Amino acid sequence: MLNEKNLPNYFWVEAVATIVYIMNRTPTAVVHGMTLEEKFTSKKPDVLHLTVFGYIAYVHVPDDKRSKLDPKVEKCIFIRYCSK
Amino acid sequence: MFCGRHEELSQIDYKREKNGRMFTLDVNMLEVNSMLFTHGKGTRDIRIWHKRVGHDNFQHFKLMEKQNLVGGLPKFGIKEVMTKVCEACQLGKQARHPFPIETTHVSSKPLEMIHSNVWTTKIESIGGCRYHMIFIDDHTRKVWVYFMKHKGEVFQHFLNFKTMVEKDKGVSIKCLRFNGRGEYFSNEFSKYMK
Repeated sequence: MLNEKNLPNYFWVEAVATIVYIMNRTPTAVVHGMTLEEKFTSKKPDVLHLTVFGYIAYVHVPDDKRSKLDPKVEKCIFIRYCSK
Repeated sequence: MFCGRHEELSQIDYKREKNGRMFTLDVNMLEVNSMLFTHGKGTRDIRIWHKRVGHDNFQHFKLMEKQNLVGGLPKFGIKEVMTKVCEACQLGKQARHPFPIETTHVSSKPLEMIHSNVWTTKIESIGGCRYHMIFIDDHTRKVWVYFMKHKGEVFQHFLNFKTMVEKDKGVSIKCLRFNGRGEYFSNEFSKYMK
């Protein structure tokens, strides 16, 4: 994933965290008929929020952090899901 | 003006015309139009979904669709799943013989056995981490990962992990299995294990 987006290797923490997040939500050979997340929590995970690692994202800047003429969004790249 | 996800914009780059520092986009062009409105969150393009799930196996889509494992995934045709090849996967994933699928499972309940390992790299992350520690539940195979600046943090992370999962499941960890490396034999860890 780092190679695909030409990201520097010091993003490895984000890459590993993303992989673990995805692994828990996709099938494996050992656990049949459900994802690891479902087997552990008994709740079916949702994947509609998944985004490609390293893609360009636009983050909203809260009202009190900007003035009228400042841009409303900040351009970033997506590197990690929030684990909470 | 058009705002869109990078994945769509890069595909229609060649159809934009430069006008000063602005780009105008002719949405009436049939090709552009179909690209804009077919690639949302619910896009059915399997290549994009393949990237979204971190370059996971294409077969897994078939499995997830067939057994209804997750919500929110669009339906892909089986033929479509079979024929895709991803360049990044060819470069990044080495062909290697798979491990034999284990037929015997030691544990029958979550948290009965936890596997753990510490991994080291020379490359410091942005936050200054050089180690990561993983915990795998033997029964469900769910994975947790913790990042560390020093190996001495192993014990603290283990305690955090232990409280978190035990609170979650309401049962305690029965067995922790790790390789016999030094990081698991610090004074406090050994004392705790007794």
